[in-house]
Amino acid sequence: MAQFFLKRLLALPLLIFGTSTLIFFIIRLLPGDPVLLFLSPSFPPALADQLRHAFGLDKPLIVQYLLWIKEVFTGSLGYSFTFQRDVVSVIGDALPSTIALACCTLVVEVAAGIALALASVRFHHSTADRVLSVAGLVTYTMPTFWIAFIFVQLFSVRFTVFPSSHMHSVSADELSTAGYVFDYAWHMILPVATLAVPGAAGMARFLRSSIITASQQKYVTVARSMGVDENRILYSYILPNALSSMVTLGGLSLGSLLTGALLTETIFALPGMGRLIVTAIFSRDYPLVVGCVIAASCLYISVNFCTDIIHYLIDPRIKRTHE
Amino acid sequence: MSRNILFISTLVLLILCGCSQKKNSSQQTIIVALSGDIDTFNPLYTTDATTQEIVELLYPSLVRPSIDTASGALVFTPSLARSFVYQNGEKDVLFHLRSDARWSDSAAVTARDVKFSFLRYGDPAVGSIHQEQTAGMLVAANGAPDIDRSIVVINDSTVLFKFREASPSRMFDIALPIMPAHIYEQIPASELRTHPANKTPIGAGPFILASWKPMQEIVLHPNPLCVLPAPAKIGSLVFRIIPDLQTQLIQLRNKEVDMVMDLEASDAAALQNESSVRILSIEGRRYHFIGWNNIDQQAYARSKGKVIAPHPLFGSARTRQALTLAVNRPALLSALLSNHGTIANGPIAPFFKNAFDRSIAPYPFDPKKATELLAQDGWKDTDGDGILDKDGKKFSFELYTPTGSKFWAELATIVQKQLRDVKIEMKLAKAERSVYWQSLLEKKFDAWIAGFEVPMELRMEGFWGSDLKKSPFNIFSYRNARVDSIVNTAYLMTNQSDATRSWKEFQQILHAEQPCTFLFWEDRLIAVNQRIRNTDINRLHTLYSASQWTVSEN
Repeated sequence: MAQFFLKRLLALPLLIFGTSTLIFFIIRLLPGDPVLLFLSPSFPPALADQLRHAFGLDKPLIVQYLLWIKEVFTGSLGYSFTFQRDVVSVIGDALPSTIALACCTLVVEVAAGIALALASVRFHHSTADRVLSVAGLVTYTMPTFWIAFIFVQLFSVRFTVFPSSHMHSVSADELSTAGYVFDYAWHMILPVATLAVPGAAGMARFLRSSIITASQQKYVTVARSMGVDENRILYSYILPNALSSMVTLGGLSLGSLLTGALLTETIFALPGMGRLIVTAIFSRDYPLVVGCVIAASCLYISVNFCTDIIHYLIDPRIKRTHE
Repeated sequence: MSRNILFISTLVLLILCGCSQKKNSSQQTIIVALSGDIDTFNPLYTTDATTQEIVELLYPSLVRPSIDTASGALVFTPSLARSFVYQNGEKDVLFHLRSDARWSDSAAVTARDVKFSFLRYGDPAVGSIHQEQTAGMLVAANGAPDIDRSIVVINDSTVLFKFREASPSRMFDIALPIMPAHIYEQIPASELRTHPANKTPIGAGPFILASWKPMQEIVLHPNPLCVLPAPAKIGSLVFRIIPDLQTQLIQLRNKEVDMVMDLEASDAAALQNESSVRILSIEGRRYHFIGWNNIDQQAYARSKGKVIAPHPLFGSARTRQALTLAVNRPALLSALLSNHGTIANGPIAPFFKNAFDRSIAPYPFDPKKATELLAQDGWKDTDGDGILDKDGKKFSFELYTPTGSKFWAELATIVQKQLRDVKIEMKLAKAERSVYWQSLLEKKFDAWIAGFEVPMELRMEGFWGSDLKKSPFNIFSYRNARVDSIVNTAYLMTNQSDATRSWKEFQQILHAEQPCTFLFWEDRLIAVNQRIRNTDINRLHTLYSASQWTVSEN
């Protein structure tokens, strides 16, 4: 088993390196010139060449690549043309917000997903089950921006209870630690809800069908025939089996949340990886694009890795396969 | 039950926390919504207009520009300079600096800082976008500006600027922000762009940087040491980065922000009934146009810029006039901008009162006349397919807009219909924004819709010079020797009536030759909360008077 995880661990840097190398070349082969950002009719034509020199864009592509490799090994990912700062520092500013948003969303969507799935199973084949199923399907298919719009109109415009943007109030730095934490939580409610609502609906539907499948297994029939309490059957026998598949779903959800929730970040003005990646691509900010890809790959692959470990720990069948 | 109580109490706490915070922040704080973050706090590298305005609130400058409302001309008043006098036939300017000006770290602002700043602006190794503003200084043997010789520090409070020739727009070059030499002189030119000092600016303006949370907010506080002219009057000025305009408007209505810049006309109309908001409409510096490629871009590209032949569709001035006559510009202005703008006749804005030619009547919307002019150029529908043709070639082309520009896309759709009425087939095409601008600079498109924001200094050679390599922003590839002569000399003319005559002739030539279809000048619409007072917002600056802004108690 240790060998399996060691192999996966060793493959990670290679995978990240391969992905970022691919992106390094692809983004440079796209049409568009990053220097255009800085030009205007009042600037001398020579400025474009000076900027290309300053950004290292006047060198052959392979030289740029080798220089970039050298930078990576010194802990730098280059210099962002758009933000005029180190790529590491730019990503460092966006990452905490993305991680916080993703983790909070995952917690909410898993909790709500489990609760809804259990409620649906409890009232299986009843009107409540059908209502929950239809409502879940509708919510799951709703575009994120539309949910955000409804929440903002309802909670920020109509009732003005939650703020419509940012991670904290103006002058939040002057608050006490507890006040700051509450202020932060108050600001995160709408963006987290926006992302968690469709996620929870999806998870509920998935978990509901997993629970129903698991409840048709022979061990459940045996337990029932032995007169085991229904609650115990559900929570001790069916749910642990059904939840195993939720780990995969949660891992995928967290992976995509960590690589950026562009629309939510834009609407709620949150600094995050989604906004950063889009800005970098549109402005042909090559070092930042590659830096974002590295960060996103690291996060995505790490989440997958953790998912595998959790699977191994909670599912004895996987443990037995590897042993 | 206890869980429910816990949940409800947490929710109530969160809401209370939020409400109390909102009250605290609303008192002596003014919050301005920005759609994008600042590039840098180093004035050497500021690129966009808002960044420059924020940087100007932090750093001193020798003189500050303002607008003389009577003449529309820019006037420069001393700021860090106590006074200035022209010498040597107005080629040189002698500045006497204020002796009481201090950087925010208490060091004195001296003439040495002034010279140091301009040495950095002009150094090609620094790569400042403002280096062209040192181009008028004395030159060295190799032809490069010799800033060391051009700026003479006479003593701590006296500095002399020497230029090669007199120019009425000289003060534009001198009004750059001054940087603290004691902070930046130890930093090598190659490291200036990324140096950590750029995040903690030391200035001498009315504000100091209190905090900057990238992609979130910039907080400025009054600079207690400022004497240029005084510390800001409000408690703090906060710029919140809100990329989505609709979110900005919601926050304006909720009084979470006090100012939203660059509204769309439809948003301004929707805000008219908001009692807490007033809408400022400012004569714009931005004009929109339909660009026609005046030259055969394929021949130009094949020959690597050596062959310059007229464009097969748009090479004739008469055809271009016809195209302008076929476009209903008043209807476009009304439909798209709710008349927040004026029809454009050329690239000189009406507010340049000394240069704008009021005698030029705009081309009317006249499809019949357009058809006649096209026929005179040989464009007729000979095969009856509803599209004009000449020598077997149809009058059919693609018009490009950048992706993401809803305004230009809507404009293009209306123009397509109007041109169809004179039997011209215009297909709509889109290009990703970066590709779009690169293609324009490489003259790859036949036709496109774009807009230019004109500088306050009347300099047109970058847009209209015939040397397409030296004037890359002449994206129309328009070439006219007389226009060359005017754009290269008029801005240097010290005699105002000579300059006026030249600029009027320039506009008459462009009006006759229609290198593009000038559409309209777009007014800037800014929404401000009524509680903000003394907002002297003009076409030059939005934040110009921010240090004078106050908050009404009511």
